Amino acid sequence: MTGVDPELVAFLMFGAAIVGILLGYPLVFILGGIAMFVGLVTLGPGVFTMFRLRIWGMMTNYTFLAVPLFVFMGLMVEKSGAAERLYGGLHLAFGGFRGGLAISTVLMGTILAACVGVIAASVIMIGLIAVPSMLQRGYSKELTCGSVCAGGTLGILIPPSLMLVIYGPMANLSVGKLFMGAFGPGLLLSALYMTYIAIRAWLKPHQAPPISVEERAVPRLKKLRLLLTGTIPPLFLMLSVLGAIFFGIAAPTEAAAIGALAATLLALAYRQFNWETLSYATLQTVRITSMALFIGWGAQMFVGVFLRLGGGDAITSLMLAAPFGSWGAFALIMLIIFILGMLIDWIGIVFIMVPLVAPLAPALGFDELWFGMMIVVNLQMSFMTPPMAYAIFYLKGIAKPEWQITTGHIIRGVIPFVVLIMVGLGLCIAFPQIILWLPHQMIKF
Amino acid sequence: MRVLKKICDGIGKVSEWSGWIAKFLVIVLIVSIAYDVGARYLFNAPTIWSYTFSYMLGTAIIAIGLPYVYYHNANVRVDVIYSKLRPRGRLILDVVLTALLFFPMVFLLVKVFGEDLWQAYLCGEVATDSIWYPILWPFKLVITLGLVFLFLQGIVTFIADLQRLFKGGNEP
Repeated sequence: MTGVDPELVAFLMFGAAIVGILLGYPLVFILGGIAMFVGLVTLGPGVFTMFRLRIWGMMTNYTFLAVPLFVFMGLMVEKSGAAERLYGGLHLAFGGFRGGLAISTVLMGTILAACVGVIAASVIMIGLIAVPSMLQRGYSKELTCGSVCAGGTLGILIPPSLMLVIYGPMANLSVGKLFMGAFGPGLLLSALYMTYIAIRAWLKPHQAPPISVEERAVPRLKKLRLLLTGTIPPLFLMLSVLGAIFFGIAAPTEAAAIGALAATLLALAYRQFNWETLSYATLQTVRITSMALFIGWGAQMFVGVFLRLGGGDAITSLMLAAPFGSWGAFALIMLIIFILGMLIDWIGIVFIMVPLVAPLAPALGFDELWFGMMIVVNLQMSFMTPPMAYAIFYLKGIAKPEWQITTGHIIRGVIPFVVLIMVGLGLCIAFPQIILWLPHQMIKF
Repeated sequence: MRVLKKICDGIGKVSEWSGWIAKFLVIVLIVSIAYDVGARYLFNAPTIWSYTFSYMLGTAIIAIGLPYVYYHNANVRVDVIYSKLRPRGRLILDVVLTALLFFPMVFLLVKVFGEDLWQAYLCGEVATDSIWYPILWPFKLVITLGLVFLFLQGIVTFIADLQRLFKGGNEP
């Protein structure tokens, strides 16, 4: 290949991948197939050795083992019935206030987020329980859908989170530190959501009425008992996993194995553990792990060829030339990720974009941990921005006909929450300590 | 044709079983890592095999899961446009892109990892990232087999798609 600018080839390959992905063919074969062709034509058969070494690097990476373990833990929590108990306790405690059920929904999302790392599990769990409960009591459909999608999506931000487990190795950052860094923004978003719901319910009471007095007529002691039995087991699970990482007792992978065992014990304690549950959880784990990490193999091939052709340097010089200095480059990266988030699955974005943009952080003068967390918080929106929006898909997928929920209701419902995520991003820019405080308190060893 | 159908059904069965095998490896993975943590903290006796054994298990789960995921059509697609196509349009798109992208990619992966397996077998390569030093070819055999069965399942699905396309069947 003489006479053709290799950087141009690199960008053409990127464009071809986007077109292929939008056509709807499986992501991994688009990435791998294009990499094979472009690599073979431009770099020759030597490219095979590069592919093998890059994929081998992923295969022997200990951190990625946390993926199957956290997936299993989330599925076990889903099957344990912890979500029903949690909502049972929360809705009695908060239902008496205007908007209380929607606030309980976000709170449930926040607590469950600390037990599961995937949003499929949390949106489905929360949706099945909270939607009928809110609709029965006359909550507006928009607020109901919005709070379920926003609350459920917290699952991939608040640790343990699969997105962070994959982000860490791709950007050479410690997953443990990323976990601790995600707490601040996660709780911030949760607080923003609840505040918004409270204000909206106060301004428009008919959209979020309190539950009836008869329903609330439960002895205070019983209320307290339900609240405690609902919240303590998941919180205990969370502490066992995150505490082990925070105090340096275990690496994230090891903590994930402990969490997987603890979730199994939780299911046992709730008498939900049987052969069927175990079979479901393990088979789904195989499915999700194999699917997600195989995309990583394809992305390794793709990124390898892209970088070898000089695409990485081209991106760096392009970004450094952005107007308004490093903040202009930062805004541009955020915009690109936001747009990709509308179109493409997050797994693809993290595997492809992170190796390309994460090295820019030091060059632009940003803290790598902060920069990574901004990308992850940004990707929170990708679950709620159509056309490719998992939270909306999952909620639509479980919606029963009698709920009379249309995609329009869901989309109108999530818009305010997407705006709140942008507010959250702005706050993290103004106060980087929201992200950086906790990781700096971590016990180093 | 009948022989062909039998072979196709056989490969489909293998893909289904592969999910079952990988399932048990998930349990082994959880127990082995938890055992290592326990051995280190409770008995102060860390294992020498845990690190290498764990990533081998993890990769085996992915590799063995490949034909299963493909068989169940569970690979991530961005189906915004795809879901709006008519069944015939979807079939055409799948057939064309499978021929253009899937076959070259998976075939070359089989070749690359197959040659690596052969090398590892010939010179008795061992893993050097822990003091356990296990031989590597059985691990590389599992990777290659996973890719081979992914390729075979790809052919079977491809043939089924072609049949539907030419018979003009309208099921998805």
